[in-house]
Amino acid sequence: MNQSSNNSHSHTELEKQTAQLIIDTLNLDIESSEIDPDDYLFGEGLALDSIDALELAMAITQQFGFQLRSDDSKNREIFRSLRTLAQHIADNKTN
Amino acid sequence: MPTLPAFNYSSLDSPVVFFQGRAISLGELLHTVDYLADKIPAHQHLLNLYENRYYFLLGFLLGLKQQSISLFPSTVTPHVLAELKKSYKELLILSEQSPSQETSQIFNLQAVLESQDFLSYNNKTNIKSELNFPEIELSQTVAIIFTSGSTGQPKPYIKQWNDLLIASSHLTQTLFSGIKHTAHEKSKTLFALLATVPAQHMYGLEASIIVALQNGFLMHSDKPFFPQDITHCLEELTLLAKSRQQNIATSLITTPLHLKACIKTEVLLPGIKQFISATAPLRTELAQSCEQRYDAQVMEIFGCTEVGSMAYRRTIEAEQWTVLDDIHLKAMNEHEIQINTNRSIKQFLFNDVIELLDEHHFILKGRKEDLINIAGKRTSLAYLNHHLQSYTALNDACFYQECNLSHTNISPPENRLVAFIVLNHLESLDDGIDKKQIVRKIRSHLQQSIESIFLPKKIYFVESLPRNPTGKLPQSELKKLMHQMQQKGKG
Repeated sequence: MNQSSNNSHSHTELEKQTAQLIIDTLNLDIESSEIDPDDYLFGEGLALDSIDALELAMAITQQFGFQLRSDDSKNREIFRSLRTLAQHIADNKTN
Repeated sequence: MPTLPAFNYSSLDSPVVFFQGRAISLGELLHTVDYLADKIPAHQHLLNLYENRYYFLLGFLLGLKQQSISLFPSTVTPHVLAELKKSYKELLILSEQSPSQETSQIFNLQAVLESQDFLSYNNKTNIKSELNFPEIELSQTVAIIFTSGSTGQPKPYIKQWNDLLIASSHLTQTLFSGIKHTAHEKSKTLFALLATVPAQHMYGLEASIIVALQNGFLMHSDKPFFPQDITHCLEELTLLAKSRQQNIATSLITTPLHLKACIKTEVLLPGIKQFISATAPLRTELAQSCEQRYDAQVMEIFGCTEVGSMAYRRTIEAEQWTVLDDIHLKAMNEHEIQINTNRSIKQFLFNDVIELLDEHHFILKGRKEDLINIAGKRTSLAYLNHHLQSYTALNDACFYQECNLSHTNISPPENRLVAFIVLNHLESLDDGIDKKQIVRKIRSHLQQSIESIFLPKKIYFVESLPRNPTGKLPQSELKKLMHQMQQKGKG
């Protein structure tokens, strides 16, 4: 019991939704509560890569109705963590 | 020695590359090459790391002009760099930043072209009114392209100028002459290429660089990543054509992964006339969707690093591939098909499993077991296993590629790799070892030699690998092991 509460993180509703989208899209076998909202998504942390980024972009567009762009210099920041990605979705979503 | 020109544009005013919002003409490009030729440090080999096609092209033309050889490794990890430095002397890296803790000499084109010195050169010297670029000897070695090899050392394949020209002329004949002919008035059409693939790989080099230079096409300097980036680049090309009172006809040089991304996100692709896809076979349904939605034909190229482009097809018309005119296929025995060509490699055995229909046609059946293809990038299981097994804390280990064949969806996610590891210590797995720590260490060990997309998505700790009496690892046994681990994960 102790261990599972140590590994579980509290998320906002949109963070929960975004975490679930990441897990479903990339077929990860973890629970959404296991993703630390401030952990890195790429490199260390979840260790995602460029193909994952493209798969995620497709899923985000389909679910939230907006397109991602990479000339945006904030892009690195957007994909930094679950928290920053969820914030970007909150700012841009149309459905 | 016979020679042929490096490019074929109608005049020095012809636009060659679209860079930072404007078209750079052939005259301006060569003027810049002249300047850089005076500044570039002495070298024999170039490692041109520029993703941006304007800088890439400058580096490539400098190499052609000065008869140095461009090295194109399949990936640039610290391990690969060290190997290249050992084998190729006077190596100069063209890049805006030094890769890792690299000590080789670096020539930063971007910084040089933003210098005061270049500005005053531009002000003082006029762009020449005559073409001043040497013709290139057909036998000149212009590039060495590497596969990842199977023993941990990159395997080199020499590309002479003629090799690239042969592939380019056959690609032109089969893929581009059609759109050239259908254009109403040729002079009123701006033919352009946009590529989502790197210029440093054989497909990108032939289809997006050499084809552009040899046909006088305009290339966009960006390598778009997200679907919306592709839209943005196409809009820029369309606007440019409009300002020149021309129609635009763009071919997108891409992969199945990016085509899938365009369809799924329903982006607009203005001015698109043709999609060219390579690196992995495209599903007919996906090609059909692209043709219908964008009213542009979808053509595929089949090729490999060793030979270059070899065959083509229009995906919606035929399952079979037709070889380019210089390629002849011959069955050696039941399993081996030999490729014969007048390119400098002359002969090569097919990496893939194919069904030979006749000398000019074949059907692709699958990959040989050792080859790994993820999102169009290739490596071999032997190479991956070699580097995984070299990690000292492991008693045994191997990579395994999961196959998501159960997906009925037209665009399933890429099949990624996992690894099974057996630790050296005999201690029980549950006792006092920090699995996360081990996984982190293994990953950072692998990053020295393996490109990130080939890193294992999951690392499973097992007590032994299901080796058969000869020490081999049958796929069927690994599949069973995978199934067991997944069941365990659920329980």
